[in-house]
Amino acid sequence: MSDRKTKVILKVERLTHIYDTTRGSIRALEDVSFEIREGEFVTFLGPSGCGKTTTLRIIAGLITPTSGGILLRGKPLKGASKDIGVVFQQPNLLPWRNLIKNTLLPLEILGLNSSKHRQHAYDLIKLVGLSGFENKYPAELSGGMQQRAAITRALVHNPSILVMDEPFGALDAITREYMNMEILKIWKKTQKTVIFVTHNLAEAVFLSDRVYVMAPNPGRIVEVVHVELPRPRTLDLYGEERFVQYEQLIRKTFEKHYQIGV
Amino acid sequence: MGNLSFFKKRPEVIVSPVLLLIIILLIEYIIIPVFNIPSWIIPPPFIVFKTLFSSFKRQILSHFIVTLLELFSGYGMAILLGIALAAFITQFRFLEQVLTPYIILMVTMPIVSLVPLLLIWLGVGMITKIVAVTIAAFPPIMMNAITGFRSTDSLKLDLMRSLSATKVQTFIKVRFPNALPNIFTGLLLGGITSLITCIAAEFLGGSVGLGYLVVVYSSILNVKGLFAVIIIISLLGIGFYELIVGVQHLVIRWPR
Repeated sequence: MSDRKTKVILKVERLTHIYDTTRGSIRALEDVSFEIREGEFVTFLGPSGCGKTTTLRIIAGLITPTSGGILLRGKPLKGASKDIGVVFQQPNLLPWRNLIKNTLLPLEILGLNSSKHRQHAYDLIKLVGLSGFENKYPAELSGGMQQRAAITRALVHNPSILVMDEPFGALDAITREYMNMEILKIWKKTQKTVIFVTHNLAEAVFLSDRVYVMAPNPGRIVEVVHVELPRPRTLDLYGEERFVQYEQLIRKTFEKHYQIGV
Repeated sequence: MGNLSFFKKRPEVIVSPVLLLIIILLIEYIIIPVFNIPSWIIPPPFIVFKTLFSSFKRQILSHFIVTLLELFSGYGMAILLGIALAAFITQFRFLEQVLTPYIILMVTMPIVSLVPLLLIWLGVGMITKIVAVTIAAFPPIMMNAITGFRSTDSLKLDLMRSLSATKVQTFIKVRFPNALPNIFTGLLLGGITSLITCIAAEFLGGSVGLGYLVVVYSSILNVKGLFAVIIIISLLGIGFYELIVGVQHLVIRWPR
């Protein structure tokens, strides 16, 4: 369902990243290129060591690639951009701040403290269904609630792109499915571009417009799958034949490119 | 350590230790006549309390105030010095490597042993005691603060970097609050060392302070006065400890 009408927001060109370790260098990423259009939901899927998290961390400005570059709306991206919000593998909330203060953190750091921005924080908390919990501390929230709070924090300064690094990996399967519905709802409502990383096949198919299938040694994109399932998507989709076909397609790709030690 | 505080406890938790104290005092009343212990070795508790109340304002209070001033000024400087140095040192990996063995040395060596030297350098006045308290209390505060600053979860630092936060913002919003539990561990340890060092420094030189009074009463065999001063020093210790724990409860309010 890639919409050709919208503009390219992020262009990644020939990204290569090499980690130097005591046991030699590891080619975490080799020659990775892709384009993401405004408003798309794109997922990077692959086993550990395939470079999906490295790709995301480069986009988030947390690591500098060995070579290659990124264009954000046509301009070279150097370091972290406030037009990109990040959701981490764990909720990563600050335990000494209550929910609303966690959500407001990016505004404090970026020096945005108008009442309009503050109202946006409360609106986001409402959107993720956490109204009434504004004064609760992270330790008083469940895992799913914490990750929803982390999403409000990533969106509060209104970035165009939301990058999510295996955000629901630590949640139980039931909460995870529920959170997948939630993130689609948030995506639709806020019309952000979402770049999502997961190692969960079904999650990737369920959420995405497009799935980049990655393989390790060296980390690279081996297949691009356009998921042309209608939206809005509901959990009923999981049992449907066309959904299962997409899963099979991706599974076959893994079999071809990734030798699982048997 | 905060668990030992009397704060936020049910009444029986306070009542039972008080009962134990009463039993110990009663035992003293039995033992003293049975073994015929003269009152210049162990005075009966009643005499001690009488001495305490009659001589507190007249003789003990002025010394108490001096010790309190030395303790608080020395400890206050130790807090500032300890936290500031820890914040500075943890910014530079190299500095941490160079200084670590010396920090351990400062924490483990009894700073009391430096007091005779300080007396030669700085004289017998209050300054010597304040400096001694500062030198004794800042290493444990600094060491624990370093541990706290260093233990910042890398994911939280990633969060700050993804927002292009400055070093100062990262320190104020993440590193410092993250280190607070460790800092308070250091503050408690430093508090305990402070009082010991302060009293011992007063033993060794000068003409004021509770430690000085202990030495004077001992030399003239005023045992009941000695007991009275020891009680005051003990209460000062407990009060100081509870003050630190109280501040800790005020500062660290988030559930963990």
